Amino acid sequence: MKNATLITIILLLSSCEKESEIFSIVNLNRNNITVLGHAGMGISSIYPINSFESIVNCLNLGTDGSEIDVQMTKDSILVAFHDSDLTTKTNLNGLVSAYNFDEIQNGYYDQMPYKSYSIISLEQLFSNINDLGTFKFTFDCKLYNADTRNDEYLSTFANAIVKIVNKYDIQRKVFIESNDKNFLSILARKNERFKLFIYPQTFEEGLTTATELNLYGITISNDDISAEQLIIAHNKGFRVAVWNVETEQDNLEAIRKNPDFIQTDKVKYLVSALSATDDAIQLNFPQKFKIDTLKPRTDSTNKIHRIITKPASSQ
Amino acid sequence: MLKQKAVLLIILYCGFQDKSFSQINTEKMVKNLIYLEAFGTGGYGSVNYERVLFHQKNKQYPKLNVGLRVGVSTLHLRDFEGKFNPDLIFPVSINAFYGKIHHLEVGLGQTISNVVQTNTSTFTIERKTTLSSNFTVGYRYQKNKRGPIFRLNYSPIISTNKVYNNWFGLSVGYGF
Repeated sequence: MKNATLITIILLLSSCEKESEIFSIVNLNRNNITVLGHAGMGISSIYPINSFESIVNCLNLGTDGSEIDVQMTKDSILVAFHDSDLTTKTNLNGLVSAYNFDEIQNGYYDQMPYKSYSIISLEQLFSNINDLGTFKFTFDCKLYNADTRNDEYLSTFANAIVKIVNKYDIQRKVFIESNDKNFLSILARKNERFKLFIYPQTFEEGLTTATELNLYGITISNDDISAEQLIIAHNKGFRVAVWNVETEQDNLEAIRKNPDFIQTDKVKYLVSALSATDDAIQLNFPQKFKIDTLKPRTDSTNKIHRIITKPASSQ
Repeated sequence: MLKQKAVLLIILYCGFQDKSFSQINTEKMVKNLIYLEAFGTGGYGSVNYERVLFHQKNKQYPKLNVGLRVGVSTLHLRDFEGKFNPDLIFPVSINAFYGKIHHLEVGLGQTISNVVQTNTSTFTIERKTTLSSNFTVGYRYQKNKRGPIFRLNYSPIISTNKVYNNWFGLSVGYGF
């Protein structure tokens, strides 16, 4: 009797094991969703968003890369920081653009007791990531309080992006998003191969601007785009990146819409949720894939997810 | 002569006090407390042991108690590169609480933290040990016999770099 009860419990427990859903993904990204962390590990992580620790932790979990909020200091250095004002999250006050970078370096995130996190430049970030070329990054360019009709300021910002992208030879791996049409136009003039995204208030606005400026894609909140609208964007040739993907349910909903990029706040979950799909694709079409041996990812749950790339001939 | 009388009066008063209240408190006070604290001086949560070192005897309630609390906590078990490299945080404090069942609590102490930090020059992982001051003021529910305890505190943390973190703690535990 005891044995029977034990067997029943074991069977019940084993039947409770979560099954991994295999998604049928159709998009303009070779039917693959690029997994990006939202400013690293996302807003619910203990690490402050955009900190070195948050971004590197995200990359180590088997993602394709990370979105980064980018601002420019008074001396034209690009730094990773989200808020318009430094006051809330750091020991400094005011705008990032009011400081030279050496002053910013004296700052740190002061929300967390016992730990101190620095505000970093993109230079510091990229120079300290191993195998940088295997990752993708989205620069969410923040033009807080900038006069967006001031081409000189926007041009300096754009030049700083060109400089860092060229220095680390990551042009093909970088996506640039902004809500400012003028800035996107300037960036396109600096380098027509930049992959530019409009960051609109509504899908319709995004579609109009992307068409007008011949952009690479649209970055939009997951709540502001439907699966049908995503098909419309794809039919017009625009990639779609979704953000505001905070919960497990948000991630599943986002996957089912077939976007090209997801900027997630639940990094581990999204990597895990997509791993079964990648495994299935590899098993079904092994000849179409090769294993990128550059960098085995450290996440044990990840297995082969994210190290699969298509052969050069299919690109 | 006057001085002698005063001393005599004090002795008599104390003797009277002792005698008059000696029957009031013969109960055994719990000496050991274990509690889990959410947030609080441990950061995001801690496991704590508190030993009551002083208990005001021979006095009617409310009474003053003083305890030494030692806790252990962590912020991350793995560092940002995914390796097992836990942050270690040990809040230590002296807590004074005054009351019968419902107590007013005040505490003061130091937190020893040995945590993973990024070296800002080399961007490599290193461990750093620091001392931070902690202070608590709040409410404590605790009977003088075995039973549950509950604490709700304002517990700011003051780091060595003069950062003042407003912080709160909520504890649930058991006294025995």
